[in-house]
Amino acid sequence: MLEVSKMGSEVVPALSEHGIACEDVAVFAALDMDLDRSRADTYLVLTEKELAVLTGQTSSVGKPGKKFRKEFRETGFRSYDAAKIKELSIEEYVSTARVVCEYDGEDTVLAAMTKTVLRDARIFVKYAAPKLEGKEEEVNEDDFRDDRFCPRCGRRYPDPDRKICPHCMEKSKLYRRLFTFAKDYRRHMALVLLGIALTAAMGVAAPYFSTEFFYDRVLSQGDPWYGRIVTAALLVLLLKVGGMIVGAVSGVISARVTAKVTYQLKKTIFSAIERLSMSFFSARQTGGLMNQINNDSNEIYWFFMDGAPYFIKNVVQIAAALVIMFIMNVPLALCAIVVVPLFALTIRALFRRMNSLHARTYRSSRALNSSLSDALTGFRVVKAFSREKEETERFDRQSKRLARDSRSVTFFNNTAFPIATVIMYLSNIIVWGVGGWMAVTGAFGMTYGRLLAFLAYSNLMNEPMFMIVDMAYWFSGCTNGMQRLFEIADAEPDVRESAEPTSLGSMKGSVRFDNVVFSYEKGKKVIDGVSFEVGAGRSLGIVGKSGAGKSTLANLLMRLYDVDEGTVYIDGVDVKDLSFDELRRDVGIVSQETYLFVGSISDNIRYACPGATDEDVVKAAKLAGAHDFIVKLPDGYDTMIGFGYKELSGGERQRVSIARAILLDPRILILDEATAAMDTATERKIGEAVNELSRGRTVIMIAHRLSTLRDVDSLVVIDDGKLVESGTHEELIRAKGKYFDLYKLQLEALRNIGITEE
Amino acid sequence: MESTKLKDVITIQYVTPDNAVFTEKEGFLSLKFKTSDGEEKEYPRVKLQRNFPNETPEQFVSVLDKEDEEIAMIRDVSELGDAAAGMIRRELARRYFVFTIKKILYVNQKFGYSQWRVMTDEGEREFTVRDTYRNFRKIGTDRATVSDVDGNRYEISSLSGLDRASMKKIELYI
Repeated sequence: MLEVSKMGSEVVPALSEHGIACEDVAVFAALDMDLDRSRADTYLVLTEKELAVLTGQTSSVGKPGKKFRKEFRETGFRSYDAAKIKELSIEEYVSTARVVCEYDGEDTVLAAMTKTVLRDARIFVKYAAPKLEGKEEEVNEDDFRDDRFCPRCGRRYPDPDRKICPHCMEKSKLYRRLFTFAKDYRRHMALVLLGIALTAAMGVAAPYFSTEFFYDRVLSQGDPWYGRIVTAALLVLLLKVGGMIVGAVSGVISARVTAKVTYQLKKTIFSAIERLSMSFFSARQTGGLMNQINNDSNEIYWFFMDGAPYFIKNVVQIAAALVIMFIMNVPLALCAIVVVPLFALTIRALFRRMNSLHARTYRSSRALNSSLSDALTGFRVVKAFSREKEETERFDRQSKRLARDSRSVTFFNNTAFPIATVIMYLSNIIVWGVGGWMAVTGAFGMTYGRLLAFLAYSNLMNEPMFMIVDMAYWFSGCTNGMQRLFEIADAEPDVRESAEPTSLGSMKGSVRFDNVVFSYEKGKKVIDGVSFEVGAGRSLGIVGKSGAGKSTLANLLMRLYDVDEGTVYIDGVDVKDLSFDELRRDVGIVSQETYLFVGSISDNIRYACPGATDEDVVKAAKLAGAHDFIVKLPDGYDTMIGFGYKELSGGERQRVSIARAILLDPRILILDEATAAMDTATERKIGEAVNELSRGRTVIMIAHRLSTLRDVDSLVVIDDGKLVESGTHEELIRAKGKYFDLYKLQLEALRNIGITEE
Repeated sequence: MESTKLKDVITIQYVTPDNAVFTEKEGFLSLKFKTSDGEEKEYPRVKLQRNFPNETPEQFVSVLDKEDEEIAMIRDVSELGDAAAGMIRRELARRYFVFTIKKILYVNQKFGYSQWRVMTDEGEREFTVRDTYRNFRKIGTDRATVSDVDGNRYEISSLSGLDRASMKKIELYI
């Protein structure tokens, strides 16, 4: 039985009631809706004879762990004769989907679902549809590996693309792991801790000397310290200055350690990213990834730089102050802490509100920035359609919104925090009142100086509250950041190098695709059973509409992705068995999206082989037709290009990237729409150069403009992921198929402007 | 010389009561359509596609064939007579069905995702939203949609109609 979703034991009796035994089931899947879109457990069951749709509600009985079982209450059952089902398929809607078929000649809806289980339904149809036609689909184990649930607690991962279970995540493990980065700095960290402890101690000692000690001893007659004002003042000064120095030193040390640790963290993450396969990048937008890494590591940096030391220092300080207060005077200490819970709760509420206000301000400022940069980059369009006024208004609207939001933040800060301070003063007032009475009556040995000391300590306890209450928020931000970064560091590349790669020695360059099937997204085949061959040193053109899957073929040959089924061979060896080094050295690609790095033109051409001589660089540029425009630049090959420097035109960029690939001197050269942005004359010239190059080299050219492919040895036509035709230009013209249609179309376009085939 | 107006250069093929007959059976919509050249064709299963789903859900609705090629466009559903309009509205309702949130029971931001528990017309539902600011989309002044990690969509048809407790939970995203 092919279980797309696990068949629970609670379903078995319900099925057998309808005469379906477990061993008869060929394919099984669970969906989550009834036909009327209400929530229901719907099971699709395909047997030899029928396709049954069982609907009902599953509920849990008993306590977890103890006599726990699931109960299924049936609400509906429909059975369809397998012989009468045709065209089993899925119709996808905005938020739902349904399984439909032609039953006995009538369009019929079999089941409905939310998109949550769309994948299951797709896999069900993938295997059930061929079975209904009497065929067998080759079983791909990946389709049945259900990895959407946490193996530890069985809960569904919140995000199917990210295998993180928030319930089972161990925070302590994360922090321990972070500290492995800091293990070289153990001594530094001990120093920092010592420093923090010292500052805290001095911070706690200072109030005693400036209050009780000063008033009750230095200023009271008969005490051995009486009159020694200078000494007392120096003592207080020493404590303050000493605390400051120790604090500064430990701050400097911790800044260095934190910076180094975050640097190492970033380095680890970056090298992990470089190792990862393409699919990782397409799943997350690259821009988002960039921001995320930066934000997350900054969050960690500030947490350990600012957050953690202050936290430790304040906790020590609060604890010490409390102890001292209780030693000094128990009843008064109790009075002082009565207000603390109220105070802490107030601050917590205030912080929540403040965070949401800040988030809103952040959003408006982001919106303002993006519309500003939109209007500035698009100023040509703005001017051309004379929309200056509207753009100004738009900017004004957003600017006003930001101003309003910032105002509310300021307003909040200026009103809410004084309120909190007042509550804090409440504790002072209580201490004043009760302590004053004690001092006057002399109860509990209270003196004037001691009262002042007590007040100082109660402030020492209250002030850090502002920060400590917000600590949980800070802490969770840091934990998140760490989690995400380690997740990247731990991500397994899907495309892995073979442990014992086969070495070809010198690659000849023959390429063979054998029944290759590939999909970026499960169940949506982008390449469907494509087979073709290119002999070593021959050239092949791949033709097809945009979106037909041409570039995907190049990606598979480069092994940027791995095939789902079938094999790609180079010189008769599966590309999966070749070493990455050999593969990347001998297969060069010029892709549709040319990317040039910030640097000089020669740096960019030399990208893949940094050791190339200037002569080689010029030769490559000449071959690629890039030399002509480079010589006209004042700085020649040293012209800086890339973001923020000289802008090259689309065609120029393509020529530089072709030069880059040519310099690599690969045995197999893939040109993926590499000349699409050039004018016809330049393209023709490069075509000639490529012809030169293709002598003794395998060239695969992908294009939709057929004129680009005039000189290739053979052609394949790809449509909708399938290979529809192959052969030489003449053969394909004679076959009068897709290629012929395309050819006719493009020829007509030329004829319309008065050009005929020579 | 008088210049041609855009609207004369290209004409949109509209569905009218004269050139189209819709039929509905068992949750499928079919169309018999006569093109301007007088050619009549039958489409057993047609798809409807709103061109402006947010602003004018009943205007400019494309009718597509099995291959997603446009057969013609409906300018306004109500132009087609009650019977056809009813069928079209039912098909649109099927295709564009989203859960309608009546009440928000719980929203919690955790690890970059937000967990939601809401009450919809179809009962209580729980879902997870990635990058909530981006996936919570305000439409016009009073509507909003939110899309979960699986691609399911939920709609709040009237923000001002939400109760205070629900509103408070999503305030941040609006």
